[in-house]
Amino acid sequence: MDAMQKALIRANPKLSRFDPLGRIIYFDDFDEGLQGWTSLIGNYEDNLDRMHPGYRQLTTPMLSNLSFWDNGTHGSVDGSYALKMATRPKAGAQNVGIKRLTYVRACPIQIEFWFTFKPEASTQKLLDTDLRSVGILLDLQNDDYRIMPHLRYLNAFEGQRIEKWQFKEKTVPFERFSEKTVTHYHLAERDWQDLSGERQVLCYNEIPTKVNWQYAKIGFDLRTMRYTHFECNDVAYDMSGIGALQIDAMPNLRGMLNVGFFVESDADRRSSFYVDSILVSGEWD
Amino acid sequence: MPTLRESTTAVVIRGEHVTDGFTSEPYEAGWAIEALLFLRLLVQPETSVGNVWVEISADGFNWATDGEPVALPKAEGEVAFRRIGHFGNWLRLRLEMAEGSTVQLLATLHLKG
Repeated sequence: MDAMQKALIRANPKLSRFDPLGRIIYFDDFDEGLQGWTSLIGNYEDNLDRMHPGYRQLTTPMLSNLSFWDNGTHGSVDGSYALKMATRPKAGAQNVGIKRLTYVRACPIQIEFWFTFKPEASTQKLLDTDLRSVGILLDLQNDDYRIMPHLRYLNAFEGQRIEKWQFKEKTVPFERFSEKTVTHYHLAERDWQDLSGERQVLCYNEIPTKVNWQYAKIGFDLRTMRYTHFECNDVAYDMSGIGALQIDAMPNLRGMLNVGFFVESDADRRSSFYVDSILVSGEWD
Repeated sequence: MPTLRESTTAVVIRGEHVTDGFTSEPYEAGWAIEALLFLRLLVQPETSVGNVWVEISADGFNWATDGEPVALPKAEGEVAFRRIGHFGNWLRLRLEMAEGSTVQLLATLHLKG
């Protein structure tokens, strides 16, 4: 990135809190609407009942202004609205929001986003262990492989605060519906590994109706299909030995560049993941 | 270039087999000034007698009914709908059905604002 491009980005109040690569593939500020973010639907044939139960629980993302019963509207970073994914009120429940593109160059890419998370404030307690995790996944395919990097911030597990980022690199078995259609539930609660031995304490605040926005940045190289970097707020992680789910290339997915956000609940209460904005950039001439 | 309004479809019941008392997950849509609810049965039921109540909320977990209920479609392929306005920030649906009755339901909210 040359000095002029850098100066232009830094002088733009919408972009200055990001650190993009040379090309902005998309920049979604959810004050502008849903902008292509949608529900994840599982594969099925003949009847929705045949969808994997993991996918059947998923619901449509919302535009939220973060309104709370005791303190009114919280709003987002630089406006009123954020993308919201909410689980059902059940321990282990999950939800996903996804945006689907294809890549035009196999190149280094970077995903940056401002986010926060909270359990539903339906009881007057701290609820700091009610939300299990929030995370991000990529779903990519080149000529040889389908690659699915998964990262999550494990806030709590079975009632205990964990506060660690985790990754996943093992695949789960596929189930076949027919000659043409298969499914696999890659978000199953298995095979997560810690990115680091260190906890990263994110600002949860002191009651469930106060929120603070956080920043994360993921680098991934579509040429090597390896992570290049990952940072959350002021903590950078060593990604050099970190892998991703990898399976043989599947029909009809070549060039896929999907980004998904997911949230998991650790209690019988809804958990919500809010994203204020996301910038996906790439490096090519 | 005019700025177009936001318009989106939220699937609030996606083929679930619903019974009396079932409630959809809360859907937050304070940005929208209108909503249109469509109901469709995905499988021909043995019997389909029931109503769908639209509910509104100040906080997403305490609910009040809004207006009169919508009768469920009677047969696969029939479409029922309800125009909804002035609903604040939250919407959900509540099923009122005969005991033991069940239908596989598709319920969608079409929101603009």
